[in-house]
Amino acid sequence: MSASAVRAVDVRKSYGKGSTAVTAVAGVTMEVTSGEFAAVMGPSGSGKSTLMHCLAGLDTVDSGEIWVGDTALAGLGDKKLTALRRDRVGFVFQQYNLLPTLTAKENILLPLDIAGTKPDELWFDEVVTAVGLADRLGHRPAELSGGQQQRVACARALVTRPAVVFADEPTGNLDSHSGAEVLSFLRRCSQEFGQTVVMVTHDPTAAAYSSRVVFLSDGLLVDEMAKPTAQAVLDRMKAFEPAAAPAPAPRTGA
Amino acid sequence: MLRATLRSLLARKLRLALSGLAVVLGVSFVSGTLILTDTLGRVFDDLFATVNAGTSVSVRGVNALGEGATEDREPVPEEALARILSVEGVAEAVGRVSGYAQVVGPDGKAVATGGAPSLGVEINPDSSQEALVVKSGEAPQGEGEVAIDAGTADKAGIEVGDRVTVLLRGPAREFTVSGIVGFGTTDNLAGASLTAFDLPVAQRLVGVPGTFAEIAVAAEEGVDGAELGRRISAVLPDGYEAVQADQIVAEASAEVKQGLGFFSTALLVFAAISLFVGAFLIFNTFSMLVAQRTRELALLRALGASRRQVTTSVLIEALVVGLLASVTGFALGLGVAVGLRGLLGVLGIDLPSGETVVATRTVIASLVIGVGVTCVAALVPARRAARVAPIEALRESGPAEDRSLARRGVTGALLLAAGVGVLAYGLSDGTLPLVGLGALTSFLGVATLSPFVARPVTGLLGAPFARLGVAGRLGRGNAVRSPRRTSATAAALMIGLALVSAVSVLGASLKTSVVAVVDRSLGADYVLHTETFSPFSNEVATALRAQPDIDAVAAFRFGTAKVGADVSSLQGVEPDALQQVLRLDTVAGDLDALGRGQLALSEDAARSRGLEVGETVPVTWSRTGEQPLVLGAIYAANEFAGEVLVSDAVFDANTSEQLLGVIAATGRDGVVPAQVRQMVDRAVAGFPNIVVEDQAEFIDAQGAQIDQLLNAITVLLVLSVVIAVLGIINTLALSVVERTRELGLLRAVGLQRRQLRRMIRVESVVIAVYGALLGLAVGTAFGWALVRALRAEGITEFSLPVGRLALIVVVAALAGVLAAALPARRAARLDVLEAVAAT
Repeated sequence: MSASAVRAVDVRKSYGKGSTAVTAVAGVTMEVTSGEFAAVMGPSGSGKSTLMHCLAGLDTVDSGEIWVGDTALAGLGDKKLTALRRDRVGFVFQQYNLLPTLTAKENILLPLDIAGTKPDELWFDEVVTAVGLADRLGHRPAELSGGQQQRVACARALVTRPAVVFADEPTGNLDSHSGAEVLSFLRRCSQEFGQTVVMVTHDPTAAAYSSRVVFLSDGLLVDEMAKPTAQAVLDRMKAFEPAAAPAPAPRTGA
Repeated sequence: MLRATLRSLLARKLRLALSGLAVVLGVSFVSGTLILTDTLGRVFDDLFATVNAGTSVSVRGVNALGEGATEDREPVPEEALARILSVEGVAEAVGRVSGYAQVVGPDGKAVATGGAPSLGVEINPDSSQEALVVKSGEAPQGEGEVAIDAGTADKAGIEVGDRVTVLLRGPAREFTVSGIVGFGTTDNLAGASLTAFDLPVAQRLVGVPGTFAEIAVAAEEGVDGAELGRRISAVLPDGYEAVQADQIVAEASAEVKQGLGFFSTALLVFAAISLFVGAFLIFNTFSMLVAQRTRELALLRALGASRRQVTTSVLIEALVVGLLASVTGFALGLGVAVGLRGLLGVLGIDLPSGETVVATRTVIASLVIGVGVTCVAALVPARRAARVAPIEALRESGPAEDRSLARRGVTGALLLAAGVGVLAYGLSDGTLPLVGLGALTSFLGVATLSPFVARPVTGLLGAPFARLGVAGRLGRGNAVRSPRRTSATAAALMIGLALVSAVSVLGASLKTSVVAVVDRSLGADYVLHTETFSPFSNEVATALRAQPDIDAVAAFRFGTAKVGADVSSLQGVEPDALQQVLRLDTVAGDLDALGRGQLALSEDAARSRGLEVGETVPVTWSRTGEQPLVLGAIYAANEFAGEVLVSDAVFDANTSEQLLGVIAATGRDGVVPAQVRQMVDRAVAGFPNIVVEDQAEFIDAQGAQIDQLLNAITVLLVLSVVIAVLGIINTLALSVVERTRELGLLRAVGLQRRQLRRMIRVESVVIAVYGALLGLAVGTAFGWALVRALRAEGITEFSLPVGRLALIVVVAALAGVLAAALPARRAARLDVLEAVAAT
């Protein structure tokens, strides 16, 4: 199954103990193939962020398996997990992506710096050109707009050529124009560079950029949609509202 | 990673600088002390070498005690001089005289030397070995002339041609000042005053007639000093030795260096205390910085930095701070050394100028200590930084205070128990380093356990403020809700004030004990001594005895001898007067035995040597060697009698010390005290160096000295307290940054700037007073332990200086107000919208 970039098998995760226990992910199985741009959507409290954290190796699961490429995350000690994050996974968070004391260029190269490997100059130039920040490399985050900061974060996520890039609400803090820039860049990554991208979002417009959307509700995977449009996603999301029609029977993804 | 580390360091320059300041101060103390003692050591080495330049061999009596340079040697008879001159290779041999002579200034007061000896010597201007240099006038000739050292001449305003009175072993005499002399290149010998006489005059008035203290021999050119020494030894009678000049220099230097060693150790102890307090500061600062950088650290972890890389990055920050602080501290230490030297000069100790000695070990010590303290203090925060979970990069709120207090409680209890144990053992054993170690560990234990009591105590302390309004309520709430932060901030202050209060308790107990001791042990009406308890002439006792209404005069002479197996200090005194001036309880035997030439020992001295009344005890004197004495009496501990007593006759027979240490005298029964006092004052009129005290005055004088020492120690401890207050400022400032959003919210909701400032001030005062109270409690306990341990030394009463302790609390509160000034201003100046939107 080497065409699978990241895979979850019956993943469960809950927080707290006893009476205050909250089940975030209640048994999700899904797979993202290599080169795919997948979006994970759901109302708040659906467990989408938690699922992504587990997939990315930022958090541990209570039960179930997670695979990044051919590597199973379960049983990996902190050192190996850290190395995985450094070399095989890229992150774009909603905010606070960058170290305020480093320039854009230094932020982009940070994972390589941590690993102590020399950057591939050609790839670096390509990525920088792709995000359109060639003239801003010497600037600190405080001197960049929100959209520019997110693009720096994207560039950083790509520079190590990871197996998968995880984006957690990457456009949540951006205006529609900057957001569109970031999203089209992510799509280009998937389509032109063959980069696998998994994005968590609650915004139907953002989801429309992806090639496949999976819907989570109450910790379970309830639906999928290929070739999504903003309208279709919006309609589907409306179905989650309490007064709406009951959700269809949960289907496990293939 | 390194780049990220260094950048983040630069971004926090100011905060790290403040914490680094603590290390700077501590290191400067260390380097200043080391530089000063090294410089002084070299200065004295050079000085003694100058004195003995030209001399190859010195002939002197053998010291039977074998201890260093403690002088009580048999004087060398004049006849030896001729014999020595006949030895082949001797270019010159001159006799040297040394004894007591003190100049009385034109104002009628004896010229003070601040503790250095007042020496009477000979001057032999024709000798190639003469160390004294005539600066103006001429060398003295005959009975009526003296030359005095330039230092004393300056101090007293004496010039060539003046008439001066000189106090001697025998009756005081008047002389004409024929000249002013210097010692090598200096004005005097490190503060000691020198009165020089013509040689035969010196022998008679200052030395022992017909003898010399030593004979200095210069070698002919080409003659080896060791060989010459051997030849000379061959012609000397038993009991005398020919010693190489460099051995003399080494002995003299060693004695001085021992004194310097004590001085240096004392200062280094204070430096260590400041560094210990500084370490707390570093720990605090780094802990808070790590907490504030949680998101940044989490991001690094998310991006794949390993735990070790994160820990290392924090430690590198500590390393850089430590390095910069050490270098700055070392440079500052040079200034400290100069300052300390100036201080000594003001006290009258004139040191010859010499280049400042900066030994390699000083540089290394400064760097190692500074860097070491900083890195060790930052170790725990660095480890904590590595435990930040990568997922915290996504969290909004700060880290919750849910770390288990239980583990901390166990650690704290263990530390405290261990510390108290080591302390108790050290006190009972008398090992000072153990006492210090035990105390420090106990402080650490208390600091670790502090959060447990912080909440209730700060709640109580803050209650009056809370009553005053919302600002007070919020301020108190801030101090109460984070007991860990409050404890950490207060810890440094606690340590500084614990030491101050311990010293205060000790001092107060000491003063009270003195009263008890005097009541218990002293029966005399009057005690006579010089200001510095330096030796004085027996003529004073003679003058007192001549007065009609003075009943008993006991003249105590101080000496050293080996009694049985151990060396101890002893006193020689007239047996009849003894029991009238001291309240002695005879435990065994009879004190009258002293009059029969027997020995008396204190209970402790007898017990530790396993001696009983009637036994013959071998007593080794430095001049006469081993003499058997019968133990005639054992007396209960008496601080004035000391450990060993002999009669004045026995003392005089075995030592050449003819000067007195102290006189105790009683007036005749039935005579009005005022009249007796008049008699005493009349008797000592001719001796301006003598101070007369009745029991009350004696107690007061002792009390004043204790106060002086206490204040000096407190001043040295103030450095630590200052560092601790810096710590409070630092922590408050960091916490303001941490709570930016919260403060913005308060302002948005309507809290005035003034109220915000007051809130921070209240928090600061509560924390400072909390630290002070904790410090007082710990310090009083420590002081009590010290008093208990020193009971054998005469500190029998425990006294609590309530006024002084209360003052400490008040000062701490004021310090709290001051410390809050800058952070409060910073907080009040926050822009509301920026603050609310802050990360």
